[in-house]
Amino acid sequence: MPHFPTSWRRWHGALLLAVGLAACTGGTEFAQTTFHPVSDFADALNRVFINTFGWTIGILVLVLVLLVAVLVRFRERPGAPHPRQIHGNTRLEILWTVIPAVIVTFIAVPTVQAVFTTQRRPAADALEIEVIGHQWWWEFRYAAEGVVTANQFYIPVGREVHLRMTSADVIHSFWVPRLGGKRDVMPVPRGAEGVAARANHIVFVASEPGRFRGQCAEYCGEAHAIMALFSVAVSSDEYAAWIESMRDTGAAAAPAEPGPAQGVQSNPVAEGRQIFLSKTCIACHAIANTTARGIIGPNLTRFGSRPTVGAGAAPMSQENVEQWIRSPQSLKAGALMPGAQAAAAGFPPTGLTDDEIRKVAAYLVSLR
Amino acid sequence: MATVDTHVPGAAPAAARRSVVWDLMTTVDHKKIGILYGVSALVFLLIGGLEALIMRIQLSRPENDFISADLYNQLFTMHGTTMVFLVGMPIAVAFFNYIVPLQIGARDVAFPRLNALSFWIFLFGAIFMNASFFVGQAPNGGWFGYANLTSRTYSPGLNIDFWALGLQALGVASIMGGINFVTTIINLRAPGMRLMRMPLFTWMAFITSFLILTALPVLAVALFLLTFDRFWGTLFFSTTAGGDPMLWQHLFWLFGHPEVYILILPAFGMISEVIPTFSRKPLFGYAVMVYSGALIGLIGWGVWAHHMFATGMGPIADAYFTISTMIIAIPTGVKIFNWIATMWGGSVRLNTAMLYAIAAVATFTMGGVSGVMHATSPHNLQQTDTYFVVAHFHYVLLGGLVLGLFGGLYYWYPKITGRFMNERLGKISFWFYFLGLHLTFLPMHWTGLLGMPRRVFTYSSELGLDTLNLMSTVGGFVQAVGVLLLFVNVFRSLKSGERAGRNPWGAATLEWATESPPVEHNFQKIPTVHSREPLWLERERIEADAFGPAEPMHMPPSSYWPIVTAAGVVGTFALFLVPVWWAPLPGFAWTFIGVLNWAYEPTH
Repeated sequence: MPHFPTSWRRWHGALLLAVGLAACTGGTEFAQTTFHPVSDFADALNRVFINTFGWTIGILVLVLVLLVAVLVRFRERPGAPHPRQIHGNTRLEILWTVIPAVIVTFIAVPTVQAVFTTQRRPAADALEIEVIGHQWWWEFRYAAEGVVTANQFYIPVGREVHLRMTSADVIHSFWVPRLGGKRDVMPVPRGAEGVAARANHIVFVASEPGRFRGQCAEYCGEAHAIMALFSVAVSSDEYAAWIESMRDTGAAAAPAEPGPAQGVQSNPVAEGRQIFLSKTCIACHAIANTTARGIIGPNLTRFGSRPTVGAGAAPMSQENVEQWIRSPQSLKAGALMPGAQAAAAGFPPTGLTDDEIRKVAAYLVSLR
Repeated sequence: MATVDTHVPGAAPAAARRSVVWDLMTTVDHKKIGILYGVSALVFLLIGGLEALIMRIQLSRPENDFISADLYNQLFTMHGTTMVFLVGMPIAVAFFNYIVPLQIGARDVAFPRLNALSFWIFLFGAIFMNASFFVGQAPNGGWFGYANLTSRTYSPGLNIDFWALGLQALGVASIMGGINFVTTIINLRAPGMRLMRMPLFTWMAFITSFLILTALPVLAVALFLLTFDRFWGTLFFSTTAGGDPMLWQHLFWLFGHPEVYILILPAFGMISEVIPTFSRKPLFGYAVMVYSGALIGLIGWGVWAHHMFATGMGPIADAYFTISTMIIAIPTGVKIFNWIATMWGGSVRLNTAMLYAIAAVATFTMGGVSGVMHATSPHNLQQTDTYFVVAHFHYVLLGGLVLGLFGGLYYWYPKITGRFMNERLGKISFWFYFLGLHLTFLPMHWTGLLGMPRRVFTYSSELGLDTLNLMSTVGGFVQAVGVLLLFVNVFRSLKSGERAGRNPWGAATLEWATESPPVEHNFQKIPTVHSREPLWLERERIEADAFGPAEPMHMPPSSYWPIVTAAGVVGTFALFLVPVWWAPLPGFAWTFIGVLNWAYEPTH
């Protein structure tokens, strides 16, 4: 990997200063900034950008200085003699062909090096996660670990991660700027090569813990703007604990029957669970270790731990989850999930009452 | 037209009695068709600009609900499609039409009726596509309409049908125009006007016409595949049947990148006319300017996949397209340095036309610089599909194309109307437009690199991009003020502008040898040319030709068959929207009748 240790840091500082000045947003956190890489991949991209940035801004400054010089020195003045008629100067023209060519070389060489280093093959022990783009949400499958989740996924800091990405419908693009560049998530043509040959890949090692926001970066239809995802980088111990809490052991845990005898004192979470598992919810949704096994919609295991409802449609809260169940389209126009009263994408309305919605929401939010 | 006839110039009593509207509908005069193109393009500029302003209002703050997602998606699709196909291309063609025959010393284009047909197909196709707003189903797949989102499965409405059929019609018009201008420039040059004596604007028109002639058919192929998928159940882009949406991307950008040069080269040509005229010096390095233009056009065919670095083509393809794209910066840089060298040592007059030309050089350079950043393909993965790209191509297209065209408008307006545009108002509108442009698009570089994807109708307040977006919105309105003042100037100066003579700027090229506005047949006698700057170096001889006794000539008569045929062609496309198989048949019949009558119409 090309290395620009000291000069790079100087440029980086200047760039950040420029950003701060131009943005005038003093102190605001930019959730999706590309200027603060937290992985080797994002870092490599930034370095090569700063190289190009330096050279090209240099040329820009030169051109602007020359233009200003022309405007100052060669303005029309009354009584000035007719300018000398010069048709060209071969030596000069060769000069300003060759110099840009040399500069292009200085830009192109590290760029092409980075093209290859950032598209390396994953190591044998890399953590492989299958990413599937859907209109308009993200699915993450940890095949070896038996974990499926949606819109938020966990990765261990310091271990190589290999995302293998395909789409279930149209083209999406996976982009978590602080972890690195985007890759399109393509529907794979059915053919002799098979799916594996045509999936897209991102390989990176996260270097800092944190929750990093990303969103779909290829226009994918009506709700394209509301297709966020969150990548949570944690220590390997926390990661192992998360996997354990998410793992579907295959055995549906015995439902904690609230029983009608409990009457008005009943627990809305337990009742919500009962409603969830007995209504149409499970036609589309799955929750690990329950009888919910739907695969059309997002997996809802530990749903309450996600920061948003509907892949960025609204912050996670009892109220917003209720609103989402009642009418997903009121929070996210185009969403393909049916509401309580309205059909969507060919699915009939769920017909849940307001009371049922409140309880199901309480159950889902409780899944932390 | 080069045939000998005894038509007496200026004597057309029958035509004089007819109304202006009828005259414009049936005209085959390249100058009137040029004006028709120009006025249409300016109207569409207003529509496309209005679409942009509505989007900017929506984005002025996070989580805004000024318009719906669906309407926003229609607006950004139609804004892009309008600005590329209904403004950028036709406004360049307007100048090709008006100026090129004058610059090469011709009486008209090679195929005057075909020229009229091009215009009417363009206008009807443009109206057809915009009519989609009235049924609430304007195109909503983005201006590059990526498959498989555009398939019947994921876009069941009429939106994409309007887009595909409308673009196909516009492509037909453009290809005809390309044929016409290639033929005109090769065949109708005045005696002595060798290729290397042609004005730079004509050269760029020539290269652009070649690009139109070769690139638009690629788009036509892509659109046919899409249309067949949508209407007749073929599966070119359907993955479930082994089709591949990547095919669309390759075809579209194989057209789309030459298209960028189709848009920018005419503006380069205009800048290359304006700068020497107002520096009182010939263009520095004429030959290199010609060759670099041709080279840009040629290399422009080998860089298309730099629009697709994020699609996972693999490192070999990425490396190739990185290098080819960076190489194209070299001839472009040479042009910029040659423009500066033209002004260097000159006597620079800073009127509005020249202000626009210099602003275009500066602003386009900024777009070029972000273009090289873009070509840095690893980091392109951060930039692509964000506001950084939006900033880049607006710097190129508004900075290069629109500023250059506005400069060209101020430059040639006296030739077209016989009057100057108001300089004071011109400078005021220039500063509004120029500052508005930078206020809108400079912040977008940061908006993009700080994480805002393009084509989103809303953005989370978590992104921290409120201020930057608000700046762009304010800038958009400042630009709008500049454009409206320009329109006011165009209309007011028609009546109240100061009268301009034949050659008010003291320019060097042949169009300034005729009256302003030129007579119908342009020159009394086609002048013979011996140099690149005929009006600087051989003025007496040229004027003796241009204003001497008229030579025998034949001018083509007006015809209404082009507009009738154009209505048939676009009508046929439109009738495909009706879901019965025989619906387009009346359109085919109408077109056939038009073509038949055209073929048998006497032209003497």
